[in-house]
Order: sequence, then C-alpha cells, then structure tokens
Amino acid sequence: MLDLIKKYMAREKGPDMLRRPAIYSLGQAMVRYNLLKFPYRATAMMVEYGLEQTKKVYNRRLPFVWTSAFFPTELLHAMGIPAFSPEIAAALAASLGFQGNFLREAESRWWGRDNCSFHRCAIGGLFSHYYPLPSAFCASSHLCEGAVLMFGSLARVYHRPFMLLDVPVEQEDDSLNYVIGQLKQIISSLEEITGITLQNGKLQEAVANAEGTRRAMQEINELRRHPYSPLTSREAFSYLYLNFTGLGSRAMLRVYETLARELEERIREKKTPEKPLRFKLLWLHLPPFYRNNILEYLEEKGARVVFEEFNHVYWGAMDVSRPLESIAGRMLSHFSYGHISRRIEIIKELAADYNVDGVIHFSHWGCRQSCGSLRMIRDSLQKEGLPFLVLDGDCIDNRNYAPGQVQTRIDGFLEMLA
Amino acid sequence: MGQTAWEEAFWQRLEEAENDFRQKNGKIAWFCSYTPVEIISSCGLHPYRFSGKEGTSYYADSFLHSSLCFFVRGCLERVLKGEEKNLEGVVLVNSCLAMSHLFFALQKYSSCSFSYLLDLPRYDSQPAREFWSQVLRKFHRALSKYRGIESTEKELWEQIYLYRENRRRLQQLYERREGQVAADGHELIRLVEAFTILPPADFQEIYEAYSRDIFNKKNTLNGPRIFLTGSSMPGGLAKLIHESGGVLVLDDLCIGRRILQFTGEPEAGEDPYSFLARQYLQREPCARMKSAGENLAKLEDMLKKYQIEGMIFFYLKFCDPWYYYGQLLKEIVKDIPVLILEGEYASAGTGQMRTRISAFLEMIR
Repeated sequence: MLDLIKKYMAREKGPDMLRRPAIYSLGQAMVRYNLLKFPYRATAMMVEYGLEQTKKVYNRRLPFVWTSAFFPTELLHAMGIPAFSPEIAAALAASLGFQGNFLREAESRWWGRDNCSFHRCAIGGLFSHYYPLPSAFCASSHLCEGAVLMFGSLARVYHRPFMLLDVPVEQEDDSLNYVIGQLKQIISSLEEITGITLQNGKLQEAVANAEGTRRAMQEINELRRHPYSPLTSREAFSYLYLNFTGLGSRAMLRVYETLARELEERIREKKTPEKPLRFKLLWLHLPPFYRNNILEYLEEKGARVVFEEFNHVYWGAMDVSRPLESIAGRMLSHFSYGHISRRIEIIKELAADYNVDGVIHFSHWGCRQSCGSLRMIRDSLQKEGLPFLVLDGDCIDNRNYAPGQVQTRIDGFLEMLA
Repeated sequence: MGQTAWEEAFWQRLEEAENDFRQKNGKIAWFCSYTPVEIISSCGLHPYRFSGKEGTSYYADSFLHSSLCFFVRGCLERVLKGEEKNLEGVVLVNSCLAMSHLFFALQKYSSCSFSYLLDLPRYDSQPAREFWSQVLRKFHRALSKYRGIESTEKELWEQIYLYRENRRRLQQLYERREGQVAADGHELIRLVEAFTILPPADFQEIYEAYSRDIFNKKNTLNGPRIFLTGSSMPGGLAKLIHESGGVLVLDDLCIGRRILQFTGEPEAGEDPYSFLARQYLQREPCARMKSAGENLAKLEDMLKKYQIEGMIFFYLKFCDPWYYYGQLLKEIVKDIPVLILEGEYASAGTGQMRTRISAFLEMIR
C-alpha cells in the first residue's frame, strides 16, 4: 500500500493531494484499520498522530506555526497550537520521491545547491503553495543557523511574525535567565498572534509529558543496548518526527511508552532474527531520506547501526514545578551545541555504552554545524582506537547520491574493521 | 586616477606603521567586528583585526570542512603556516557557525596561549543587552586573570573613549559624501582597516596626516556613484571598483562604515559593560542578526540621500547569513541596478571579477 502511495506521489500532480485535509482523514482510517503495515504498534500510533496534526494544519481552522527542528514545542502543545515542521516535511517529501519539485522551485528563485537541501525543499514547498503558510515562524538559534535565516527570510517575504529563541552557547545562570525571559516573551507573542491564551497548569502538563517522554526514551535507549534489540536504525530514525514536533504532547509520551513495552516484550521473546553480527556501528548526524540502501547494505555485510547520535537523550530531568526553567535548561544542554568537545565527549560515551566497533558520520552537504569540525572528531576517536568513516552526501537531494561510491567506501571501512 | 606624491607617501607611511605593529608582542587577533577591542586594550594587550590569507588554503582544508566559508579557512591557513608572528591570543565571536568552528580549530591547533569565544546575542533588546554585558564582564575578568593583573573599570572607560574618538574621526569622513567626493570609498575602507590594526594613539597620528590634506582636496572624482555591501570580502575588491571607473561613495560593511557606529554617550550610572553592550548591539546589524531584514527597509532612503546609481553586493561562497540577506536585498532594491557577486576570499584581482564590475559600471554610465 505504501509503495502504491509513493508511486502516485511521484506523478506530477501527486503532491497536490497533500494540501487536502481529507487525505489525512483517509490516512488515519487506513492506519486504524491496519491497511498500512508498520513494524510496531508505536509506529502506527505515531503516523496516526502525525496525520492528525497535519490535517489540522491544512484545515486552517486554527492558527498554526512553522517550527524549526529544535524549537521548544512544549510551549505549543501547552497552548494547543499545531506546529508544522518544514524540515520533517522535506524528509517526508524525499521519502515519497517528490523533493525534486520543491528543490527546483527554490533553485529557480535564488537558493542554490550550496545551501542545506532541507531548507531549499521547505522554501520551494512554500513558494509552490504545497506547504501551508503559517500565522508565524518560530525558530531557535541553537545548532541550525540555516533555519534561523530561512525562517527570518520567509517571514519577511510573507509579512508574518518571526519569533526567534536566541540560545547562548554557555550553560550558565545568565544564559538560563536570558532564555527564560525570551520564552515568556514568545508565549505572550503567540497569545497575541493566535488569540489562544495559555491556560493555567497547561505548561506544567506539557513539561510533565516531556519528562515522561524523556524517561521512556531513556528506557528505549537502554533496551537498544541489548543484543536482541530488534529496533533497526531506519525504524529509530522514523521517530525523529516526534522528537522535532511532539515533545510536550501526550501523544509522544504514549508512543514512546508503547514502543518501550513492545521492545521489552520482543527482547524477552527473542523475536529478533538472529543474523550473524560482525560489527556494531554508531551513526552520527541524519541519514538520507530518499530511497537508498546504505543501512541495508551495512546489514548485508554483517554490520549494524546500533545507535544514532540524534536519539541520545541529552537533557536532564525536567521539573514540573518550574516549567520554563526546565525547558530553557533543555535548550541549553544540547550536546551538539556549544564547544565541539561537548559533542565529542557524548560520541565517545555513546560508543562505549553501545560497545561499537566504528563510527559513521553522514555529512549532509550544507550543514555547517555538523560537518565543520569533523577533523577534531576524527582525531579524538582515533585516540580511542575507534575507526571513523565520513560519508559525504545529502539527506534530501538525491542528485548528490552515488550508490556505487558509497558502497566502495563502506566496503573499505568494513575491511579495516575486520 | 594616479596618486599624488603626498598620497603615495601617506599610504607608504601607513603600511610601515602596520608593519612595525606586526613585530610587537602581546598581540590578540580578533575576527568579527562585534569584538570589544576596548576590553582587550584595557588589559594592556594589542587587539588587531585578523584577515584571512587569500588564495587556496591547503593546510586549513584538512582541519575545517570544505563547506565552511573561505574567510575562516583563510584565517586558519595563516595561523597554521606561521605567517603571523608574535600572536599571543585569539578572540572570536560566535557570529556564525563558521566562526565557532574556526575558534575550535584555533584553540586546538594553534600555539596561542589565550583563546576566548564571545557569546553574542542575535538581536538587540534590553534582556539581550543585559546578557551581552554579562558576557563582556566575564571576558574582562578572564583576560585580566590571564594577564595576572587587575584591570579596572576606569582603565576600560579610558580605552572606550580612545576608540570612540577614533571612530568619530573616521565617521566624519563618511559624513561628507552626499555630493561630489574627494576620496574614493576604498581609501576610507583602508583607513578603517588601519583603525582595526593600529593602537589608538598611532592611528590618531595617521588620521591627522590624512585628514589635513583630504579636507582641503577638491572634489574631483567622477564616475557612477556606487554603494558596496555584503560579507567579509577580499581586500582588493573596493579598490577594484575604483580602478574600473566607479566612485565608491558609501559602504555597509563590517570592514567599513558599520564598525564606526559607536559614538553614543554613557547614560547616568551606566557601567562600561552595559555601555559597550548597548553600543555594539544598537549599530546597523550584520546579516546574522534578527534585525538585518528590518534594516533593509532603511536602505532605500540612504541610497536616495547619497544619490547612489548602482549597488554591488558581494558574498562569500558558503556564507549563509549574507546569502539569505542577498535574497531579501534583491527583492527590496528595485530602483537602482544591483550587481551580485559570489566569490572566494581571493578573487578580487581576478579577471572575471574585473570584467563583471567593468560591465556593470558601463551599463550605469
């Protein structure tokens, strides 16, 4: 069924469907009646939730906002404002095979191929009227600079408010207070723009959901260390949708709790197909979202990505009685933000926790943040005796994907590990 | 467009003064115009603006990713090749991701004994100013500690006034440009460069020598009146406009006019950090600031006021903030022709750049 949908979407008018709310209701019904197959009940729940959120956005009955990947969505869930993540939408477009339409649209206007394709795809999607125009653009400054610039630029072109959460690099009291002040300001701006008032206790509820989610994610990450853990890296990456848009929602909490239970059960029953595993690998940054066989090729060769940097739970326990402080603390504690040594330490920690034989960095062209200091990561991992492979590529734009070249590099890397 | 004997002697003298400075000990390199040079100077060190090595960066490319801009790779190249003598420390601002990565690389791979990264807010607001003033206070403390001295607020105020005076002097040169101009903008940019390299007292002498004659010089320059804006750029680009027959009347550059917008007075009871924070944040913004887009709205008035006939916008390849700014600029500036140049940190002298600028100026004429 999924293949049929992909085939239809690849047609010229296919993406038109995306603008019709009814298509999301249909999708929800298909999930509910098991017409679409998912590896886990949790995945089905996530898809149903995603369809519901997207339907709300395209329905346009409620004001909604665009959010960048690391914006604190707890605020939005507390206020009941739907969020649209253009980066996730870019990944979805790539997985359905019609990202080329959006990329070409952006490139014909100004944005060239040296820019991040997540953002080019989002720009093209909006300019060609496939992506919905929001009431406001909300971005946070940490990690991804391109999103800040893109959101600011689009807000100006479409005369919409641009809300920027400026996150300092140092984790100090001044930084915390600065972020808390901005969060308060953003809440009052959102109230003004959307006409929705933040109700008493709702922010605490959202933070309680986020805290529950954090614990469930930690449980899942712990289960993934088990030799019989069945969750593949591709499956794990699919939950990024929730990480980017769902934190603070009841739905995300339920999805992750369900996933934790399902994993526990499968491990207990040893349902995992026991393929001989030669090498365990850690994946840094994101994978390509278009059709590719990198992860499968690794498995074919007896290597498996056992964990991904992006699924690491980097923030500490959230205090429901101090919701803004907890959210600000989460923003400031991202391991990939600030000094590169923070990221390197976490990579080393994850490599030890998951007992990996090697580390792969997928270097998304245009992502200055993740690629900038690769040499330092390499040097540090070398000191630990950990082989490190850098795969240059693009997460969205498949024009830069050369399967043969990637396979040759993987072969060389695995030979070195042997 | 040849230089008079006086002009030749002046520029020669300026170069010698900069070369003398380069031999000094206790130099602290800075890379972004938001760096509070006053604090560095108040600790008895010599702050100076570091510019990248133009051309291919063979060494740096193995330390910084090839999708980072040529400016940061050029800067690292110069340090790694040991071209910069007596460099004691580096101070960077997290103005963009490329700058942050440059900081990590310099800290790890250079032999500098002091390195510091300043956490610059992305917009100007009261909370942002308070935050930035705390960052500056901590920086002053860290630098004093490094030097093993007690640098006082009084000493800091002295440096603030010294630098402010020189900024005011240079601003005077920028103020007299609505009509015909006597000095081309590339000369002003060169003077601003000297201001960012030389100690304040040395610069003052240089400025006086220049201004004595320039204010008496007749307004003789003719040619299309050009406005230059964009990212960091190779040194020769502004001069190339002049050599191609244009008159560079005004710029919106961090290596030019923008760094001079620091001329206000302290408010009653204001400490030096709050004053510095306010001055640095309220100036016309770099493209990385949230208000950069808003500031574009003011551009049209300025273009009219200075009777600008053409605009040249340069951005370094892989510089995201200026790339996005360029798109907005293209949408907003409709009344005058705009030449958009994308380049590396080395292309000012290339034939391609020269040809494009010449063709643009010819079109305006």
